[in-house]
Amino acid sequence: MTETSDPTLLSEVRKYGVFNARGCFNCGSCTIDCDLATDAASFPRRSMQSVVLGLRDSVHQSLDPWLCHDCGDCSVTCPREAKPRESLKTLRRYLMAQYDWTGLSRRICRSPGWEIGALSFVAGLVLALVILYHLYVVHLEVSVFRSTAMGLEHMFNGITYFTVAVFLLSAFFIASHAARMFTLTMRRGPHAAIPLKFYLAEAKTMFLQMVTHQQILKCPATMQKRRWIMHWLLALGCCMMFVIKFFFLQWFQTDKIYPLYNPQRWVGYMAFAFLVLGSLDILIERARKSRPIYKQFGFSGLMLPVLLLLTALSGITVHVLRYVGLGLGAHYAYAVHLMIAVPMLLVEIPFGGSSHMMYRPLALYFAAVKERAKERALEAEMTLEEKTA
Amino acid sequence: MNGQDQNSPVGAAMVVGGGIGGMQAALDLADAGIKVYLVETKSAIGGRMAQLDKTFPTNDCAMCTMAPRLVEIGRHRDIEILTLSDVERVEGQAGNFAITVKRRPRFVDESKCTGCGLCTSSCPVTLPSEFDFGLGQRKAIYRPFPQAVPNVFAISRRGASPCQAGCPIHQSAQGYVALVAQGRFDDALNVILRDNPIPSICGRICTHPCGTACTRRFLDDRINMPALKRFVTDRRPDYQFPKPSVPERPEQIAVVGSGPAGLVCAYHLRQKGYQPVVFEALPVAGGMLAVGIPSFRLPRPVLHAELERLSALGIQIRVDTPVGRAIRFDELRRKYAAVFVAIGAHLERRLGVPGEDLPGVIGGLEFLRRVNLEGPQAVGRRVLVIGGGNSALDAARTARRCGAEHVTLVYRRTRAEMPANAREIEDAEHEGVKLVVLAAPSVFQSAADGRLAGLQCVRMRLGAPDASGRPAPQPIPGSEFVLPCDTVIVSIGQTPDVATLGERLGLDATRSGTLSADPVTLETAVEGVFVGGDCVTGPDVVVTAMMAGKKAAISIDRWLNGQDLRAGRELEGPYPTQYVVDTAGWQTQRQVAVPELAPAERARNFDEVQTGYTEEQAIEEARRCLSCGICSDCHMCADACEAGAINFGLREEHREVKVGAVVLAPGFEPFDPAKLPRYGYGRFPNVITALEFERILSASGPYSGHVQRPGDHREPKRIAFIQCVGSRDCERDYCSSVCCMYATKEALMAKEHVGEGVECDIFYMDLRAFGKGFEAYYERAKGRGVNYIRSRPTSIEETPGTGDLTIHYLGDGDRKKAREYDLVVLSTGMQAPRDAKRLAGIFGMELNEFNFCQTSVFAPAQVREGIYVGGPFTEPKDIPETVMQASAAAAKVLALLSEAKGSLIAVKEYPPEIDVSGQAPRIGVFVCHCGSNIAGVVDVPSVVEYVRTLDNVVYAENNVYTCANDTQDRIKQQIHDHDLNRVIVASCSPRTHEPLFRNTCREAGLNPYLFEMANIRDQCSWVHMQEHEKATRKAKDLVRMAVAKSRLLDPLRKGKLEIKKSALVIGGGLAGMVAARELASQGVPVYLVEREKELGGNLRRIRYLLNSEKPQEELQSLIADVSGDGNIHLFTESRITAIDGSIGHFKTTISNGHGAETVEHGVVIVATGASQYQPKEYGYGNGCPEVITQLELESRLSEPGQGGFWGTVVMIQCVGSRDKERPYCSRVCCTEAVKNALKIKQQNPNANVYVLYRDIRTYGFRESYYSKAREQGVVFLRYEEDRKPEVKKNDDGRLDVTVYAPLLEREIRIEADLVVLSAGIVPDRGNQETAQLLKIPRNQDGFFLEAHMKLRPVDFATDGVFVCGLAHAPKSIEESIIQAQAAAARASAILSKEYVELEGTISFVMDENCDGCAYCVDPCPYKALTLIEYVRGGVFKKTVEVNESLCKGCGTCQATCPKGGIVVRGFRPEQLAAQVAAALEVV
Repeated sequence: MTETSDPTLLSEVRKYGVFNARGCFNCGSCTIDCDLATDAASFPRRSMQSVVLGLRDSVHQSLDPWLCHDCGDCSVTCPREAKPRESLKTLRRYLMAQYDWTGLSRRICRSPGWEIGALSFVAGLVLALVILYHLYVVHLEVSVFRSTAMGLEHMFNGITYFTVAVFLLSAFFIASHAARMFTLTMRRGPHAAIPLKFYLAEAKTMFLQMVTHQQILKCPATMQKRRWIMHWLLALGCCMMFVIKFFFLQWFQTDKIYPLYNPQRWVGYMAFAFLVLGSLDILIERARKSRPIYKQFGFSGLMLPVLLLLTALSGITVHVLRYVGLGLGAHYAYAVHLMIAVPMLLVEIPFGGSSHMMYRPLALYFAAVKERAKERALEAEMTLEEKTA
Repeated sequence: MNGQDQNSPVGAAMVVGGGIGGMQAALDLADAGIKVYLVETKSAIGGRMAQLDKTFPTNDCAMCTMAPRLVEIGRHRDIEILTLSDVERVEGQAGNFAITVKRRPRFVDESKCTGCGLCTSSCPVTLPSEFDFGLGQRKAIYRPFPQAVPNVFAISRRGASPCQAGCPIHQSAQGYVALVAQGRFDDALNVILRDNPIPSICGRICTHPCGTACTRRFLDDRINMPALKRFVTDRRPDYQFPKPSVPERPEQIAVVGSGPAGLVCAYHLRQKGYQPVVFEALPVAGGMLAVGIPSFRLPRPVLHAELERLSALGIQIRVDTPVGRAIRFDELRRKYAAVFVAIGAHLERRLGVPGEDLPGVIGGLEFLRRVNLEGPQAVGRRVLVIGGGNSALDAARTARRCGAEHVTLVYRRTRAEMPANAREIEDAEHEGVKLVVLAAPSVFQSAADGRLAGLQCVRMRLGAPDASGRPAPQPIPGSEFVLPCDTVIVSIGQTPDVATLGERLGLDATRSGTLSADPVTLETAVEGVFVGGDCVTGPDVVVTAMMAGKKAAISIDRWLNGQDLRAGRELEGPYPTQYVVDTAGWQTQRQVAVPELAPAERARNFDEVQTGYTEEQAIEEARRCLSCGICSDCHMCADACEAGAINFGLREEHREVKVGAVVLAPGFEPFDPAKLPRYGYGRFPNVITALEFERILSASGPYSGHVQRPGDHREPKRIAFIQCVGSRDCERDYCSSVCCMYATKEALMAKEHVGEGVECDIFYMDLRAFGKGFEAYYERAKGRGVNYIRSRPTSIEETPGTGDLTIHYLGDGDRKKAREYDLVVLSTGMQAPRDAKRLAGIFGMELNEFNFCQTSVFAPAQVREGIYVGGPFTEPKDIPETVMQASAAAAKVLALLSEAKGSLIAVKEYPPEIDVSGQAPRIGVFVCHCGSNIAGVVDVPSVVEYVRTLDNVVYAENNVYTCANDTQDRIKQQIHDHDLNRVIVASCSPRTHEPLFRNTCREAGLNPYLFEMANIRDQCSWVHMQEHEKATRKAKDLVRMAVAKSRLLDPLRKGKLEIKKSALVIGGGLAGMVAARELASQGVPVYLVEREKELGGNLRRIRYLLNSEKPQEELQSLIADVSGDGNIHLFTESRITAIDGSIGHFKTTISNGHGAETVEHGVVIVATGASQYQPKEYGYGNGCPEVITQLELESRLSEPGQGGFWGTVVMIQCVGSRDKERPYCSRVCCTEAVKNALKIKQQNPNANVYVLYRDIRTYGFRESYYSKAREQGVVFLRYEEDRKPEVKKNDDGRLDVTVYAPLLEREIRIEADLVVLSAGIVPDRGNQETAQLLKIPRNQDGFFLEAHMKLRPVDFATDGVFVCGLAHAPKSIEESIIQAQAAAARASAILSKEYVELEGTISFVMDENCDGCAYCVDPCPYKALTLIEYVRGGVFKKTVEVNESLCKGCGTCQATCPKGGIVVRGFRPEQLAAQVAAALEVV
């Protein structure tokens, strides 16, 4: 099938970050050295070449950029120092913008100003809501907060609804993006209409990847095991936090003081520890530039770890202040906590660079489905040939 | 320097770098009358090309093509080769430079060495050969390759090895160790005897400071040099010293004391011819050796043998003759010319504690002396020995042997501080000697009978270090204890007996009780009296005393001869070496233990403890030597060299040379792939570089041309070549230009050597076969099964155990693949020469970012005025481009120095020739030994005897080296004395030596063609090394054949043709104009003929270049130069209708519309250019204005106001190139496309440019513009030859370009506003006519074919005709200019001479035999024959005419002629028949 070259594609992609495909002379070193690239999913060279040649449809339909786990070996091996890792990173940001129907991703992924602006806007909104809530719903004096150690129960219902709303909104955006990704990558192109049974057969792939992140371990770079553990802990911490906040908010939103053995406490502490450990590790490793790929890291790469770290720290501050009986302090800290966590959930995760949480396992899943479909098609073809023979 | 000097240029030039480029420049300059200094940093010229096996695309042997040129340079009278030299400093300005050159010593006298090679076989030191990249080995005295010029050897010498430097007498330890390692024990002995007159003693008791300095101790153990020395001397107990080789001298010298100092002094004096007399007070000779050292360490027979040898040399030793008693002091002074006092230190120190005088207390020395003189002494049951030195241990071990049951050594400090040898202490302990340390005697206790009963000692502890650096022992109060004993031997040191002798001789004493002497000269206050040894130093080891003896001998000799006693003696005595030898990478191997008697066997007798190495052990131990100094200073080569050429006294020298100009050709440095660890070079033995593979392929290489892999010497069956190693990466963003082709060549050669079955895979990115004939070569390689894989592997893995190597790569469709290989060859790129920065500093030039020399497009061989450059120093390039640029540099020098041409060259005058006509042959035969190259196999004297029996031979002799300078004089003398009229030399190859002997004949007044040569070395002794008798017979046969031919030799004359000093240049394009201008600037009149009305050719269509240079401005100034030059006669709108004549004298008719003119000239330069291909593809010229060529695009882009409107431009490469019809690459189109794409992007950054290509061939520094284009967003998309792009007009009126992208395996459509075709270059349509007019050949593509693709790229096989520019092949502006300048230089060499000297051995027609059949005309490769018709006696006749200036005497015509109608002089059928008959003669 002939595809038309769109010469504007490259410059468009380049708006999303570094895409130094121009240094590239297609030697293929990056692909040879990549342990995740396979014959079926060959990257980074093909992905880069598709962009350079302006093959918009191919690029949009491709799952390959999501199969990369960002180890950076390609950038080390590249004789032209064309930074394929960075290019793929940029390409993923470009693709996120394509999956997002609101157009917000396009803005956020291209401009740090937009990203910070959006985050600040939502934070401001949350602050306004908090103030309004306290002015018009709670009707308590500030001195009451100062004196009462159990000052949080007054807002229990409201905050539950709010939290559920925030989570559902975030989930809605993510799900809609995933659906669009599905349409672009699975329903277009020459391989349309894969039967549902293949999707069902490969469902475990997605589940497995989401739970284990095992794909990272295939990356050949040194320190991979540590990177995997840290990443896994961070993801686990996130999941735990989401689950306990979404389903068991009343555990936290209470004035009761639980003993230390109570799961309410240690599950929370564990989640906190994982989050802090995971995000700090990322930040420290990058600051130390322990690997060549950290020599250059963009602003966007830092946003999620910083937000997660701040969410965790502000959350634990609320907890500590409440347990030591500083009620007013706990309230203020809680407001700050919301101002960090809510923008993260509403902006950074669905629209920012952090949506890979969803796209990576999905892409692996889709790729596996495609591969299975292709295999079956081949088998069918062969049996057909045998029959005719 | 006065003003006049500064204004007149010097008629000499310097060429820096002796590679193929430097050689070309040197020859061009010298041939044109400029004296040349050729400066080469290595020991021979030849550069990298000498290391190559074959050259592409003709597969010629590299050495075979360059060797004649090497010989030519080596023999050129006006080229002085300065090897091992580097330029240090440059002063002055263009026309007049003063350059200082540093010459490192060769240690071989170039004027004496004949290159016979006997020295290498005598050299014991083997090291990895640099020439073979360590794959093979060479000796320390070496010649990098057999054809090396100058054909002389050189010695790799770091200076004295640490062992030699550390030895007080500078014994060449590395030397004898190296010889022992080779089993050459007698040679080793001779080396030892050179410096050491008492080696069998030293081998036993020397403390070997050589070992202390041994580098090997950093690795494991030092080399056991004493044991090796002992082994060598023990093997030949009856060896004798060589008799003094100098005249005897009458002076008698008195030596007082027969210890080591005295003996060594006497020996050296005797070697200088003096008559030394040694006075010894004791009844035995040998001093401390005889009385101080027990016989189990130094057996008496050994000592006596040494003394006897010295006596046999003529040294008188008078024992029992105490000076002062047996002979009076004044008598000594009066009777002897000089006196050396070496009385040793024989007075014992006393303890100074109570009871020391008790019976049973004895001095150690006294004890040993008694045992040595009188035999075993009675000692008590319990013996104590006080002291920790070697003497104390000797005393203890002797006491044990005298029957003591308990022997205890008492020492003040700990064992670690004992001055004795650790080995001796161990030996003593093994023999049952006990140690009591940290104890000092305080009182000797007596029993009631007054006899000794015990020794009271006090415990000591170690305190702060004292003056000697050792911790001072301090007594612990109250720690006294008693050791019971019967005998105490006090051995705590000795002092010289200054009082008895020294003072009475009037010698001064020092405060420490020794004699005082000058430390360097050993002079004393008394004139003529010298002192040395222990009496000066206090007790010391043997070798220190020996040093004193040697020094004294030197001083005495100088003093007697009235010379300066002090000069040049800085390096006497031990010193540390200045260099460090790296022990990394050596395998550890411990010292071989010296066999010795078991302790039980030895404790009761005086037999020698150590029994010494066996032969095997000695060799094994000696092989551990690391050869620190490289040359071991064994002087075996000097012994072997019959020419006496070895000179270890040569030193570095600095020489100032005055020259008018400099040509820099320092070449390149191959990239070191160890910098890319992923390829495993250096770790995996079977990963090698391409240059290493060249050596492996070479028949003269380390494996004699049998392809093996270095790891296990197995023949590889699967070979991978990895391209772009050290090229085209970020650090080196340039292409090395030659690797694709040399890899192709090496793959083909591997197939030739190993067989077609060998699999060769070449991993590449773009295959850059851009040169003349390269594309066809590449296609041929593909046809032969060389597999080209377009992928760049990132790493190589070795399979453990097998040494096989795995490469991962991307196959078609980006599928990952892995393959295993036996051998991987890295196609390493070129880097700037290693000393580029240094040269840049010295010569004041600019380097580019990669350290290559920066030049400009329109002055491509110039650094600045007076400094010119050629070869890869300006850009990576192949041999022909190097040769051309070197010639171009020579052209610039010739223009600069045109006034001074011929002012400094040597002019040779010969005596008038003797008329030998009518004389009967009188033959003289000179048979060469060639050292032992011939004489080692052939019985040369018997050959000479035999030759004398042959008819007409009136004289015959044999010479050690017939080619040596003095032999030439001898030959001349014999010619004169015996009235010889024929000369034969039976030696080596006429290829190298015939010109020399012919010249000798000429100098003797004999016609040089009366000389004949018989090759009895290369064709006899070398090939029949094992068959002496048969070889001698064959040598006789060969000489007999030469004699047979010699009888029929005639004197031949070399024809002379006067040279018309003007030139014809055909073509007024860039190349033609440049060539014309270059020649005109040398004052040569030039006829420049141009077909068109205007000058400029294709350059008129080039509007801009990649860099900022402006071609049109340059063109205008060039046209102005050419039109305004009085020496250039311009013929525009003119054609050449006829050319007659040959080199030196052509007659050419030039016609234009109005008439014709005939001009005469000496040379022709063909610069007829080429044209752009007119495409028929892609709808070009088919009513489709949006499809244009690159040249049309260029003209559109340079029109003002045209920039900025382009939408999408698609460029299609290889239009009319690399196809069936024109199977060659047009070389410049890729660069053109990049240039124009960059221009579009410059004018409108938003324009979209696609370049559809097959291989991007931006060679050299053009690569960085390719990178730049990609960076600016130009899209490069590869297409495959069999799926070419298609161009169609679509409904919107735009052009649809569809192309299959192999990488993505899909077809892509590009909507273009403009399609630009990179149309190739096609030969000029007039080429055929020009070729016919000049009788010059064209290749199958229609371009002119040069004489040799590599080394003669501007010459034709026809002399006097040259080619340059596009007429030769597609090339860039810069390359055209270079070739044009090169053509000018080549032409100038001819025009600088008055006459063309023709060869004497050329063909001539015997009219009576020739019937004009013309069989010979077509086969003549030089087109020297023409069929002519004439009328004689009314009869129409035909015959053939020889153009003598074209004939090379190859003999093809003679071989084709059925009637003997054409023959070659000097090789006439009857001469050859005589030779054959002689060969078949029964003797």
